[in-house]
Amino acid sequence: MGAVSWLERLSRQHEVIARERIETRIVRIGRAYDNDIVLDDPHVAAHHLHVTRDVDGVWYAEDLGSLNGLRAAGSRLRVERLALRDGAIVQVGQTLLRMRDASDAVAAELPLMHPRPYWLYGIVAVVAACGLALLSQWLGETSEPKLIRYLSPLLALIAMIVLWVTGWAVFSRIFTGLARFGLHLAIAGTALLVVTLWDLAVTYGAFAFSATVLTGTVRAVAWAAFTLACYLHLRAFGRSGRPIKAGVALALGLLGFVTQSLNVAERRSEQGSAPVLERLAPPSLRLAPLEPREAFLDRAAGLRATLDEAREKQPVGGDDEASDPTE
Amino acid sequence: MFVLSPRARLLGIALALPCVPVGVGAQLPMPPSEASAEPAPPLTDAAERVYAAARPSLLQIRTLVEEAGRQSSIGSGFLVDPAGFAITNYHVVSQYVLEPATYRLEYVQPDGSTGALAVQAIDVANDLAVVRIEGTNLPHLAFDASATDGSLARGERIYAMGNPLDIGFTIVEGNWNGLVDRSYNDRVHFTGAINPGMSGGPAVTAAGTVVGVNVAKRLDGDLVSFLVPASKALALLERARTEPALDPTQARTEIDHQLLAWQDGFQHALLEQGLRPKRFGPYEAPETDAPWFNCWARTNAEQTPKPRARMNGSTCNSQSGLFVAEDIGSGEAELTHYHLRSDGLNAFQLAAFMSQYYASTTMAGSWSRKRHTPPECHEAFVAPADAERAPPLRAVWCARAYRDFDGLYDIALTTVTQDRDDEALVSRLALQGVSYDNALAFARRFIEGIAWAR
Repeated sequence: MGAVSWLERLSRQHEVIARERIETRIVRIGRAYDNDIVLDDPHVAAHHLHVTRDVDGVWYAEDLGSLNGLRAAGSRLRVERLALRDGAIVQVGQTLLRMRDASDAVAAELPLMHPRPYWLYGIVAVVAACGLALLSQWLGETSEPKLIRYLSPLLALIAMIVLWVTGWAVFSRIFTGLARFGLHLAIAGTALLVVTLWDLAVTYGAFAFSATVLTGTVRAVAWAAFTLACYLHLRAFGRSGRPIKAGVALALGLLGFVTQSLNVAERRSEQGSAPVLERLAPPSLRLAPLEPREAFLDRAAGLRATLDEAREKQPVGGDDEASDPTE
Repeated sequence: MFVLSPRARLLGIALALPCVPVGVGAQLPMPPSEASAEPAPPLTDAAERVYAAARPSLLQIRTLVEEAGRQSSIGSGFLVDPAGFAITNYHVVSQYVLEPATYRLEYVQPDGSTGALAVQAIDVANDLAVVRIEGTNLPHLAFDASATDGSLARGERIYAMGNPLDIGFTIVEGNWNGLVDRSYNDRVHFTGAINPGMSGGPAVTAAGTVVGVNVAKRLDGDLVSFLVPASKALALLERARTEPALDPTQARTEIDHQLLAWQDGFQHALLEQGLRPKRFGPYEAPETDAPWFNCWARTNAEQTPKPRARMNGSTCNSQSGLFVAEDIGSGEAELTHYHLRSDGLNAFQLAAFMSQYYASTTMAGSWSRKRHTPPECHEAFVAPADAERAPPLRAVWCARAYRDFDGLYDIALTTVTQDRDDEALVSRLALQGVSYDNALAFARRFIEGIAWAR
């Protein structure tokens, strides 16, 4: 026949580690040096198997009486003989082998992609987020503006972003061989920008619309952004296992959100405070309509029923007595 | 004013009813230091005589934890009737009155005899209780006629007795200084050393007749102590003689009634005194002329570095807090106004500055999960009744209910004017232990009073 075949040695992730050109009809494989292919795997016998090509051109792996035998990759079932067609993988000891025929189809050529300027976009997002944070700080400034009050949070923010992105890039490099710092920077920068923007919008939106409930959304938005960012970071590692990645990101985000919400609720209950608007804005930002004074007092009077109902309920949470009277 | 803690831990001196403004020590001119070093007046024969005569009528009143049989708090008392009626402070027996299943009462006399006590009647507003011990033809003290009609001379030497800090029965000489001006509840200013554990003990004249009941002292002064006038004790004694004894299971209802009646009187007296407008920059805001309010000015003018917004304000609070339990008070009222004006801050920054004053919507009195419900708040932008006269307001009303007492609430109303970018008036009304209707009525008057100055 003279047809060329290739014997591929694969990693556990099924990436090709080595590829041997095969031009014979039989290939002997084992740990001994008289084999055609020598495997340095302690779980492989000296003469473990041979791979032969039958008249139809199909390759078969056959056990030569080894201790550990042959298995189809991913199966626990030991077999004497295994057909190696259509990219089937055989496990020999701890080594994975695959035969490729000259006639095997290969995937179409991918067009050459210009690397997207993710890093540029990432830097823009981070700079914008830092600018918003500084603006927010300046709008809340009530005493002499001091440079240090702007530099410290800025430095903290930048350090946090750099650490976070570097962490992902290092992981990415380890697992995929590509750091993709720019992509990770873009993901983290966008998440940060969304949260900062939302925080600023809510600070003044809650006042403008007289909607204190909005201030509670900052936490939710922050954790949603965190979840999405984690998912995108993980996805950048590769296309496999997306549901698992989404699940992990969602679980982390939910855990963070629930923990923080419970913390806030617990602190409220300990201090006996209710959520009210804490940050005022210039009167000209007001968009909510004015409530007539009597309507305001009526609404205030209406709280009485809620309070009387709460009176009947047992207090929740830990005992807050100052001290044991018998002390 | 501070109630003497019946709980005589040697260091933890008193139950502070927080009616003294924070920082009062700095604002009250302190007496020169030699004043406290002044030698105590020499003990006279009179004190010996008075103590010898009163001794058989004195009681130490202990509150014991039923299960442990150990004391959890101590106070004093005195017999006023041959049938065993005795007077003490409500706060001495309050633990037992509120939790009769957990505590019991016991008395100890100077001769060491002890026995059980029953509570006959209480008067929370005047911090008095009538208790009864078993016995007939008991020695007792008589009330002084001139004290009950209010004509005892200022400066008269009187003697306070009791068992301070559980170290033994004691007599203290001091002076009668008449009724305290700035107190809604009648209190006698007694210049003498009253200490925790003496609460409920008698203050008598040289003739040995009762003119008052030891009740409290100021922690920020020296020898500034207070007595409940004997007339109040006599009135409660009359009630105890004629009415059936207090049913321990109904004590909370009784306290509830007394507190509601007291705060009703207080709120009406307050509104009767009227709220007068006081000017703050271009605004005016209501303040009270009621004499039982103490007003303090507040400013940030002397802060360094120079603040970029000026704050000038005033806080008026009533010196009328009532002790109900160690973690429940009632009767405090506070009216606060801050005029805030930008001195270099832009509109956003001034709003942030105002937030510091507006956001602290704390209520009068401390929060206790056991005693109060969680607060409920309503906030809105409020239109003025007359747009020519007053600015729109941002306002927040918060209220919490007392778990133990029906019909009593703590409320706080905070407003900030919404008409200018460079100045504003932040106002706060805090009422403790009021009925909801009284609080609303007061709040309406309070909001009505916030206007542009004419």
